[in-house]
Amino acid sequence: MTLPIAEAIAHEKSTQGKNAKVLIVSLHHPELMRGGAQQVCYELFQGLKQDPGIEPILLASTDAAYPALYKSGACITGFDGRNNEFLFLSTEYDTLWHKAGSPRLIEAFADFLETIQPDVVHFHHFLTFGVNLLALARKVLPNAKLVFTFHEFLGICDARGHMVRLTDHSLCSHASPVRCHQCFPERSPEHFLMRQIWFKRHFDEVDVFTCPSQFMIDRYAAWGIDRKKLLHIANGQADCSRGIKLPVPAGPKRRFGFFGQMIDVKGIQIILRAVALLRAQGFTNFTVELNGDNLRYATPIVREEIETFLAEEEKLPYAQRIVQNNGSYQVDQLASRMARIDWSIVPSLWEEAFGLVVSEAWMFRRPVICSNVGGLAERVTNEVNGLHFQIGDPHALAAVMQRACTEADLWERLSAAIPQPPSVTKMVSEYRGAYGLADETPSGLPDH
Amino acid sequence: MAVANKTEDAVTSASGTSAQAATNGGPSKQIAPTTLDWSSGTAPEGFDEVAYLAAFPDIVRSIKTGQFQSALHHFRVHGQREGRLNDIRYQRACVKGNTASFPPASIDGLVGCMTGQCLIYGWIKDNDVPVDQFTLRNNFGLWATTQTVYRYRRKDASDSLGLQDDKPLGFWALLNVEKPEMMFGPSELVVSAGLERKTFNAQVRSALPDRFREIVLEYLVKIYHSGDTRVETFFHLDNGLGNSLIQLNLDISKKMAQGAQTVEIGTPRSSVDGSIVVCLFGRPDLLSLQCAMFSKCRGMERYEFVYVSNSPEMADRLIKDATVVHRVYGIPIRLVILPGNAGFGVANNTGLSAARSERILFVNPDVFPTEPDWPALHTQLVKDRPADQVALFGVPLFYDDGSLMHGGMYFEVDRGFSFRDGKTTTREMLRVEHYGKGAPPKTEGYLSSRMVPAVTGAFMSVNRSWFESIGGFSPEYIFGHYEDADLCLKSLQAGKPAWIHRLPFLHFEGKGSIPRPSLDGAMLINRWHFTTVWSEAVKNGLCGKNPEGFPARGQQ
Repeated sequence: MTLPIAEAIAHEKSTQGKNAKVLIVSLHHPELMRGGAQQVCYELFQGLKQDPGIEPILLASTDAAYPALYKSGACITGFDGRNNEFLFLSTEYDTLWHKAGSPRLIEAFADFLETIQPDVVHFHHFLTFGVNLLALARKVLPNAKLVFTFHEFLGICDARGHMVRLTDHSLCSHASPVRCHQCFPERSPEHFLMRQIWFKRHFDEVDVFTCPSQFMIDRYAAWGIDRKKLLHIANGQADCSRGIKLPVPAGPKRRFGFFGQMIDVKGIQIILRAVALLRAQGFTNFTVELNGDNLRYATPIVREEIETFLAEEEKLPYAQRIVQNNGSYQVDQLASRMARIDWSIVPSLWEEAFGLVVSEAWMFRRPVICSNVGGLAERVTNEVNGLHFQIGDPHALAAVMQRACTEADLWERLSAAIPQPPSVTKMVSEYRGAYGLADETPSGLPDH
Repeated sequence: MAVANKTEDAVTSASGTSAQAATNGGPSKQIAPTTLDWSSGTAPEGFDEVAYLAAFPDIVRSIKTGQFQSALHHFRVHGQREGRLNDIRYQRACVKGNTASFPPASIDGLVGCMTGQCLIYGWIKDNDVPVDQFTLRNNFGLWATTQTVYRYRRKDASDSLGLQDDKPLGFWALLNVEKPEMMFGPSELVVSAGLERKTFNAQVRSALPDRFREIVLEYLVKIYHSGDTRVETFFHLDNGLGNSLIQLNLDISKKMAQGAQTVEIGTPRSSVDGSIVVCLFGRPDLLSLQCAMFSKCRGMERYEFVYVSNSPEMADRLIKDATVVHRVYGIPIRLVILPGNAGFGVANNTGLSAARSERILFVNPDVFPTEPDWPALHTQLVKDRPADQVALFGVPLFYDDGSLMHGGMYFEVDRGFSFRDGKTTTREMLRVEHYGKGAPPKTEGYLSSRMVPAVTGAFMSVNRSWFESIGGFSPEYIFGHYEDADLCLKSLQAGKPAWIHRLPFLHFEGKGSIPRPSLDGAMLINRWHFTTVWSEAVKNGLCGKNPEGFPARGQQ
């Protein structure tokens, strides 16, 4: 480790005394690569910084997207001179077994732990780090509390952790050697049992797991994780409305919006198919605005479908266009984007762990129309504060959209019932409990 | 005609067109005729006057001086008695030149090995008279010939020739070369098919011994047979091919073992109850996986790991992984890197020399613990049981699906048939079977401690002194398979049968290495060798699931 880091840590120790040290290990830094997991992680880091009894330290990974950040010979560096923010320069990551393969990186991580001596090591993922770092953390810090937050099911499912079967795109209820082999015929059933025991061996080191939704807890418990170790902590988020109350236009609510990544599992293609169905039925008095990015990461077939649809839409006279693509957005643009819609559609094709976009819509009092599974269905109560439709079914979505456009007072009823999305404060408080620091005093250090 | 675009690279015709060959006299094919017509004034069939004079220039001078009228005259007077037609000089002179009706053919490649063997492969459309001899020679003293030709199907050749039938046009042959160092210069390959003959310019491509072994084994499994493939291959192996390949393998594996390098990762434990020796091939990732799983078992600090790598290309990765394993799980590892694939048996024998315990556990890399306390249980078992019951023992192994994979091994004798030239021939082949393969997990009869004819090498716990006294794993077995059964039979023969004791492990059978065609060839040879060595012993009371003297299922 470089000297400036050691100095920085020494300085922090001298100035902050015996505060409980919480090391947050984050998959990517949200300012280097956007994504829900790192966003939540950073919100937590910022929230913990406000807590007088806790000294949070962030270790966020980066990858080849920013090669210039890889300082020669370094494995862990600072980040723009910020206090307690460090970058883990991921390299030689074994994507098959999700294993750290570089002895230098391993040594650097161990050295980092020994230098910082955190009381809590909170992994927000193993991706880019390696699941074997859990065992290393336990070995280096036998008395520290290890906390792990699940953001999807990658430990269970090799298909990007989505638990969507690659055979027919149906939802997968549980993993098994034979079922996983069916998704990856080139890998044997034995491989998947090895994968399972490999992950469980390292998850065994963890003291507390957290999931942002209840159904995830059930899924992981069914997979074999001790239910007593599993905690539900919702993903808190700073209020991006900043107190702005968007005006509610009178009359029918016929403006729909999509927010998120334009990749297959987010289901944007389902919206476009629903639009095509409604148009074919002659129902055209509505609009859909798309807000998001990363279409380049969609599969070629879905990307082509989306691009073709948008190109055809562009050819239409402006008055006949229904769908408009606004492209990517930053948090501070959310208010203006939300102002242009009445409903937020979340048509995900997998069982979302939580759905930060639901929170964002709720912050602007926009009811959500979502797939009827997973974290979305758990958060959005059908007919109470939003509407469900059958996952992956454009006909069902089209019917819901038509109803949303035409049913009097529906929007008002659902919008009025929208709950307050989880706050950062609440999330920090709950993580305090998970860390064993519930009494909010330095003396509440974990007794592992 | 070129097929598979290989012909032009490997070989070109040495003497141009067939018409040219005819004007050159086109010597007849017979190299060593068995009978000659002495009474006739014409040359007997097979006698090559030009070759005779080329081989023996002193006779040319004798003819010039009038001592003899012709080469044939000399042959009649002296040559037959002196065995001149069997003289190497005559034979070498004889193989020059092409005949007019040599069938379409291609020599696709010649691969030579400095151990003195050369593999020839290609195809020939020899409808009536099959190709029956290859002779390789050059001006540097190279000379090798064989009349043993193996045939295999070549769909590309059949398609190219527009043939509908499935005739095996492909051929390969193995030559033993007298002066291997002379093999790699410009050479000539003479191919004979009955009376037809053609000489090709040839360039032998050099292959390292282990690569050469790989190639030959791949060809072994391609051999075309009209009957039972195993039986027919056994007959080929009986006729020298088996011993030849085993000798090649012995030379290679011995050299590999001599070239072993040991890398120590971490500080070795001061004393241990057992040394776990693991042979790796093609799957470096299994080292991390296995150590991760074993490291969670209580009592592992009393055991050490010795990994032996048969894959030199994995060396860097293994050293890195072992370093990571040591740092993460605290397990010191002794890594033995071999310069090539010495095979399972020799690699484990080599690993033994790096192990420090009197108790050796040979464990496959795809074996994982199911019982967290197995180290203590194993140590206790070795301590408590009579010495004869733990000199060599195995354990029940389970599949990923929970069913039993192994509860000991027994032997059966297969009988295969060959139908050639109106005759029926039988051949016995030993088969090794696992007790309880696929049985429900709690099938007591297969799990209990008992004496068994053999146990798998996937997990084998042995007393080191006993193991060494019976010679360890026999090095004759190529790559893997049958050496474990062989070891158990050696132990039995020496007075201590194998046992199985209840200490369950997972075994992802067949996932510990990378499958490849040459492995099938090696398995055939190993089975042949195992049959050759142990057939009589097995038939003499060891055959079947319940051999005499061994407890039947469920009995202890």
